[in-house]
Amino acid sequence: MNIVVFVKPVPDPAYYHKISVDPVKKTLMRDGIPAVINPTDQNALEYALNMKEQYGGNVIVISMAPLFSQGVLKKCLAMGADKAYLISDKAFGGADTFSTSYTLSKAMEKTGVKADLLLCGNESADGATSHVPSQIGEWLGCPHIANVSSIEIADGKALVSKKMESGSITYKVKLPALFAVGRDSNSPRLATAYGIVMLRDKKIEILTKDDLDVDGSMIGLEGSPTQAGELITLNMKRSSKEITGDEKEIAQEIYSLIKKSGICIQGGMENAIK
Amino acid sequence: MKFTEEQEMLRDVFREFVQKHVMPDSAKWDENDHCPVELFPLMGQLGILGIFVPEQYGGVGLNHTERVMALEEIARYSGGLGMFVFTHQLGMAAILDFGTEEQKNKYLPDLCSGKKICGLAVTEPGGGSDVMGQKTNGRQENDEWIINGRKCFITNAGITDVTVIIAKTGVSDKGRPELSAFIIEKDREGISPGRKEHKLGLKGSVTGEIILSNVRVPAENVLGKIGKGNAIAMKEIGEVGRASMASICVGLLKGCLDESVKFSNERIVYGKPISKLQAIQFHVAENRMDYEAARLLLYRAAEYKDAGLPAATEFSMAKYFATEAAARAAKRTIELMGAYGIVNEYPVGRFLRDALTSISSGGTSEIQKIIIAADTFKMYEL
Amino acid sequence: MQLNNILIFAELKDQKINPVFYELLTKAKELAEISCAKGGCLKISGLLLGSGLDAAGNELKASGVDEVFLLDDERLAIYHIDYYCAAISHAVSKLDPDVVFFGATSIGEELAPTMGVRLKTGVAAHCMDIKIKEDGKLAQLVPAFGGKVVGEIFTPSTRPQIISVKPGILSAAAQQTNPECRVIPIDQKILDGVASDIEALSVTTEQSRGISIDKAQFVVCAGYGISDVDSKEDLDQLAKLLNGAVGYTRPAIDAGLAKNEDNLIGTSGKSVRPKVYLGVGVSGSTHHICGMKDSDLIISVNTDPNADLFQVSDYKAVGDGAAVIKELVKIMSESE
Repeated sequence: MNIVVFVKPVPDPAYYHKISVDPVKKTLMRDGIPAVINPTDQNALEYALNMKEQYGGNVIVISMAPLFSQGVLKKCLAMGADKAYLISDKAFGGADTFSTSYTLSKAMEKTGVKADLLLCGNESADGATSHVPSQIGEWLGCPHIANVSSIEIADGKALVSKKMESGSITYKVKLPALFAVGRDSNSPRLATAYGIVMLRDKKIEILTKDDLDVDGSMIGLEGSPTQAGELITLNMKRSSKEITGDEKEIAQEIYSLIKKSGICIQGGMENAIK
Repeated sequence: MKFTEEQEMLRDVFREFVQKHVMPDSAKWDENDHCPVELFPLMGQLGILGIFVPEQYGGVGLNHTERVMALEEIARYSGGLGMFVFTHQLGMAAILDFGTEEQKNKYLPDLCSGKKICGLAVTEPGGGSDVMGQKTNGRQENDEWIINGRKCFITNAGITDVTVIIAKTGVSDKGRPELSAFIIEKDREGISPGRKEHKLGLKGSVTGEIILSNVRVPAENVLGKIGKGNAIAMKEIGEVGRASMASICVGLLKGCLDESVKFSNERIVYGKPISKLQAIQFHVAENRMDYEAARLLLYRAAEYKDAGLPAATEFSMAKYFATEAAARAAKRTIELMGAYGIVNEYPVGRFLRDALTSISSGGTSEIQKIIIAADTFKMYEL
Repeated sequence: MQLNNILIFAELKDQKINPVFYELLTKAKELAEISCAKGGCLKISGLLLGSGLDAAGNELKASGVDEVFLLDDERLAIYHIDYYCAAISHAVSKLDPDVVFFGATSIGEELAPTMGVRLKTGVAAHCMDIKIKEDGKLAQLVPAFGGKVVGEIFTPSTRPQIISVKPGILSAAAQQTNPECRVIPIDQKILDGVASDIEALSVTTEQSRGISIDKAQFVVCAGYGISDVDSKEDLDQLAKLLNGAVGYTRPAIDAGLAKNEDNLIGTSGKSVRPKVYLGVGVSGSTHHICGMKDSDLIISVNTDPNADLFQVSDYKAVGDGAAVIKELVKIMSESE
């Protein structure tokens, strides 16, 4: 089985509280934050590696990112992926999800890989639009389903469970197909020392704009139907009045605040909804 | 000291494992004196155990620099786990360096994968420093050796599947004791664990007695040549054991440095963080110096060993310096933290106990000084 | 830049219109008022797809929209991306709206970007607000980095502009029914031409116990500081006494305090705006704060005096959250 995983290097989410907007230049200040594999992409990679163990085959990782993101792709290879493609070119800069997904789909075509299964994480930790997976599927013309929590392969078809607000829907999908998976769908493995050593024989192929067969008007900033405007950091500060005392006294004070708030304390369900 | 990109990636692998599986539980292991054997298969899978063993025997095929790197990262949060792991590697190293192909193929794969636990038993009630004076003995009877004796202060005692045991097997022409090494599996009749020690520190590893009562061992279990047991013990203790004690203490030193910086930044006294006070800055600078110096000594020695050069004295220096420095830094950090330093919610008390325990393990500081002095005089002889 | 019409995608929830529709409708009405003040007239249309839509269709007709597009077909009984997109494409080609709104539900979140590529247009995801600027342009405010930063997005030239908004972010106000609202049925034949490699097999519904967290008047949120599982009983009890719900932060879920992410409060989970939010042992990461910042009254308890959540709270207390909850339950049980 050939499984393709689209991976996005993102700034480590553990540091997001440190990100701010320069009040003068109005640009994002996020220097020094290390790049990691987008968390839900790790879940996607884990699915892919599991399937490789089960059915044999290859796991290929594709990423559109600046050149310095190679470390993130190396980690994917160390975890067990067989080959990685890094699509990198100044011309791709400023792309929104529409032109990013277009570019990634063109990269997929360029690799010449006959994918049976394409996997993505549901959303990226930084942009969190959840757009790119569905859009890649559209560009490639293959069936696609987002928010998948389980995948079973049998006879060239996938049986998947799409997570809904209160339950799930089961679909049967003809392969090749693209699925986006979420955080609690599995437990991503750690890279191993064995994997790091095997890296010596693995390659990251770098593809620029000229390597791909892209329509220049559809890539980068120029190819993005959405454009970014101002950036702001939200001010959510409140009065933060202190309640002092031991836990009993704190509870007492909170109880009286609750009573004053107008919540109906006694009564049935009809009083519960505001 | 520069590391290669591959080594840095390995360090990230070790760190990720430690963040996920060691950091959350290390305080509990120390409090409950629990040795986390349940982590062994995972560590085997990650390549931590067999990192220095050639691929043909199930290892990763890397070197001792990478091995001590892993211990450094583990010991940052659990000196005890570091001790557990390196003792296992001590026995593995003995088999790797002195075993026959049959022995290596028989034992190393399971030891690399974490399926089996290994150890090395040298010390006795009669002496740890006085290795030659040991009483555990082996006598040959046809194709077998019969071992009798009692080992103490042995790490991994009672949990090993395979133990390399040193015993006195004869006397040389000059009247000096001859020692030999034997590989003894746990299901051999006559080998059993004795008392378990309640240590001051490096809890998270098991230390205790091994009792050998007429243990019959086939000739194929002799490790190396008969009479060469002392050389085996000294080489492994010197180059693997001491290296490991040093790396554990470098991990502890990093812990002291991290805690002292964190606390200094957060603790507000007289309206400012105490990091603004010179006295505190001096403490932090001293912690930093101890950490950097210990680290340099450790990796210098590892580099020599990996290059095939003799490294026993270099590891001796690293062990002596790192263990003493760790105890100093831990005490210094406890004092920097004031009352918070003596509260067990913080790890610094554990760092101190682990460091003091490390000084006495793998050769006391006095022994190290004797070794260093001997080498120093030799250096001038030429 | 004149806005002439907005199409709002309506979903079914338990055979009724999913409440997020009303939030989107309220925003559309707001934009209509501004647009009309500048001398235009903004028409608002609803689109409803599904099977057995009599009651829902009537509800939509009375909701305040000017027009309803409706396709009632068995093939739409279970959500199916290719059928739904075909119907949406048809409605868009008929109506030629300037803007299409989707609630960012598990359905909407998938439909919006898919339609973006099919219609070759821009999509703004998970908007926190939508405004008409001085120059008439439509600004869509979207969060990034877990909500720490909010950016303006514009779709200057392609149409329609597609916008998705998570449930609970905007507020809903009752609207006056448009007596001239007509229902335009979409011909079922448009689904005949759909070739799909996806087969919808079945739906599994989970019975949610207790009150839905996004509707509750009172929410107590447990953070990593309450990872002692014994506290769970107290939390459930407190929620019960106050006719509320228990929420969790990501670290609390990872520590095993909750079985799943259903009651995760945060940008990747649910947004809540109850009358009272009580956070215990919650440090207050940006992701979490963005999911509860619009609560009427925010009270937080934490042993860490520097907890970030304190900054956005009306009242704060430094103490053991689990013990406070226990005491609260005691006080309330005794007073009943």
